[in-house]
Amino acid sequence: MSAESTPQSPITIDMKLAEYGLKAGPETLESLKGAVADLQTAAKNICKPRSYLEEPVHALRLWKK
Amino acid sequence: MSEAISKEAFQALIDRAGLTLTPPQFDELRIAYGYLQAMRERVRKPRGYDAEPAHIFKPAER
Amino acid sequence: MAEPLPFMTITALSKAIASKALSPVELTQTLLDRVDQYDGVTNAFIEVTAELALKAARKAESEVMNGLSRGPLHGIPVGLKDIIDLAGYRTTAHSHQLIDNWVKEDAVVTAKLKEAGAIILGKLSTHEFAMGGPSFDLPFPPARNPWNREHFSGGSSSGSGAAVAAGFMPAALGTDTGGSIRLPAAFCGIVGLKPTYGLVSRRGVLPLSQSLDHIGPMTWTVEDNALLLDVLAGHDPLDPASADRPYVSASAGIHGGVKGLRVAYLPSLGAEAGASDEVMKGVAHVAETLKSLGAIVEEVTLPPLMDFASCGNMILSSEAFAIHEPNIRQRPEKYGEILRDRLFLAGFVHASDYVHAMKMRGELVATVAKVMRTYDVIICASAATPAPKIKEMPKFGLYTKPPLTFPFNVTGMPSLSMCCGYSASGLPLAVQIAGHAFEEATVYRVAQAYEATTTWRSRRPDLDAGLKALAA
Repeated sequence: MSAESTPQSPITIDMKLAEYGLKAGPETLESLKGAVADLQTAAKNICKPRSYLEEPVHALRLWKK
Repeated sequence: MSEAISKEAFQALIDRAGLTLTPPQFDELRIAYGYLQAMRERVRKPRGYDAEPAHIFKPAER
Repeated sequence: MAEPLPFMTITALSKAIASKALSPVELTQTLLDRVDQYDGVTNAFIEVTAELALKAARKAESEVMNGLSRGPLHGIPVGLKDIIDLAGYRTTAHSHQLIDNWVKEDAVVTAKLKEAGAIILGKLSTHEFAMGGPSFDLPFPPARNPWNREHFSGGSSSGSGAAVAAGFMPAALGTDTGGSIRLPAAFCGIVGLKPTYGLVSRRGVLPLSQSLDHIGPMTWTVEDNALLLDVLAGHDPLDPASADRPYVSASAGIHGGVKGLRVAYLPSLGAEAGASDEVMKGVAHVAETLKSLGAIVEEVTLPPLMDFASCGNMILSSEAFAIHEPNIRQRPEKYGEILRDRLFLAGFVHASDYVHAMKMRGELVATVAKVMRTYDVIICASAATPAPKIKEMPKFGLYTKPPLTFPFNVTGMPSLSMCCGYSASGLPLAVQIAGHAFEEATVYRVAQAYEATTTWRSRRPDLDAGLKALAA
C-alpha cells in the first residue's frame, strides 16, 4: 500500500471493548492488559497460511439422514 | 439503520482487522459499514441459552 | 438432427451419438470452432482446453464404435467454472492471486463427468474467487451476456451462464453460495440448479463460504439438467458436508406431470425486492400454468428477504474473510478492487455475529420447513429484474439489493432457476422453483411440466449482432 494509506494505530483495550458495546473501569482495563496480549498471541498463532481447500472441523447438518 | 460510525471508531475496526486502507477506501467502506451494521442488527436478537447454531462438530470415531 | 449441433439438447445429442449418427469428435470440433468465432462477444472462457477435449472426444468415439456406453453424457462437451479443479490445468479463480495455480488432481465433480464420458471443453469465467465481480481489473475480462453484451451475465458463474446460452456447450458446472448458479441462469435464460446442501461433493472446488457453497449443473433445458445431476450427485466420505444417503435419480420421473402437486406461490419475495412488472407477471404466469396443469397453487409468505440476506451475509463474510485473511492483509494489491473491498468489509464481522447468524440459520430452516409442510415446491422470482447493465453493478449489492436466491442457500433446499419469458428489451426473465431437501426430482418434474408448455426454448441469442456491437 502507498504512503497515503491510513496509518495503523495501536488499539486500546477500551476501544476493543467499546466495539462490542462493553465498558470497563480503569482497574479492570489495567488487569486485562496481560490477558489481551495473550489473546493477541493466540490469534496470531492460529492465523497462518492454509490451503484454500482446508475445511473447518465443524460441518453443517441441516438435514437428518 | 443505526447512525454512521465515527471516523475514530471505524479506524479502530480497520486496525483490529489488520487492514490498511487508502483514504478513498476508508470513506467508501465507512459508508458500506452501515449496511453491514444493519444486517448485524437483524441477526442479533434475544435467544434462549439453548439456541443451537446450525453447525455441528463431529469428533473422530475409532 | 433438425437443429444445428450447438443448439441441440444433451438428450438429442446423446441419442445421435449412441446411434452412431454423430461423432463426438465432430460435435467437439464444431463447438470449438463456434467458441473461436464468437467468444469475443461473451468472454465466457478463461481457457479453452481444445487438446484435452479432442483427445477425450476421440476416446469417446472409439468407445461408442466398440459398443461401450457410459450413459447420456458420453461424448457430450461441458465446461467448468474456473474454481473447479481440472488435472493438468490452472484453477485461476479469475484472479492474479492464483494465476499460476496448476493443479494435479480433478475435483470430484470433474472426475465424475469424465467417468461418465463427458468432454471438458474449457475453464469458464467467474467472479474473482466467486465473490468479486463483474471486474475490469483482473487478468481476464468479465463474461458478457450473450443476449446483449452491454449487460451482465450474472454471477458468479458468469462464464457458465453465458457459454450455455451462447451454444458453446450444452452444459456447464457452476457453484452457488448466494445465487451464483441461479442468477447467471436467470440473466442468460438457461436452467440452473443449486442442489440440496450436501448432495454434490465440494472437494476440489475453491471455497467461498464452506457452509453455503453448492456445486450444480447449468443447461439449456430442464431434462438435460437432471441428467447432469444424476452424474454429479452422491456421497463423498472425504467431504465433511456430504450427505450419506442413497441418491434417487432426478431424471427418472421427470415427465410425471404436476397433477395433484401442491405449489406454494411466493409473490411477496419479488415485491419486497421491488421486482419489475415484467418479472412479477412472468412468475404469476408460471403459477397460473401449473394450476391449469392440475397443481394446487396457493399463495404463501416467508420471513423477510432481509432476514435471510443478513443471516447469509454474516456467514458468507466470516467464512470468506477467514479463507482470504492472510492474502488480504499481506497482498491486497493482488485482488481486484471489488473483491478486495468486499473482503475488507467482511473483516468487520465479529465472531459472535457469526454464531448469531448460525443460530438464526437454524431458526429460518425451521420456519421455512413449517411453511413447506403442506407443499411440494415453492415458486418465486429468481431476480428482481432482467440482466442489468454490466457497468451498473453496485459494489455492495449483496447488502443493498440482496439476491432473491439467497434464502435457499441459507436453508440448503434445492432450487432451480429457469426462463419464464423475455422482457420487452429481449432479455430473459426467470422463475425460481425450490423444493424439500433431497427432493430434486420433484423440482425437476414441476420445471419440466412448465417448460413443456412454453416456446421459450426456441429462442437463442444473436451472436452475430454481438459481433457487430463488439466491432462498433
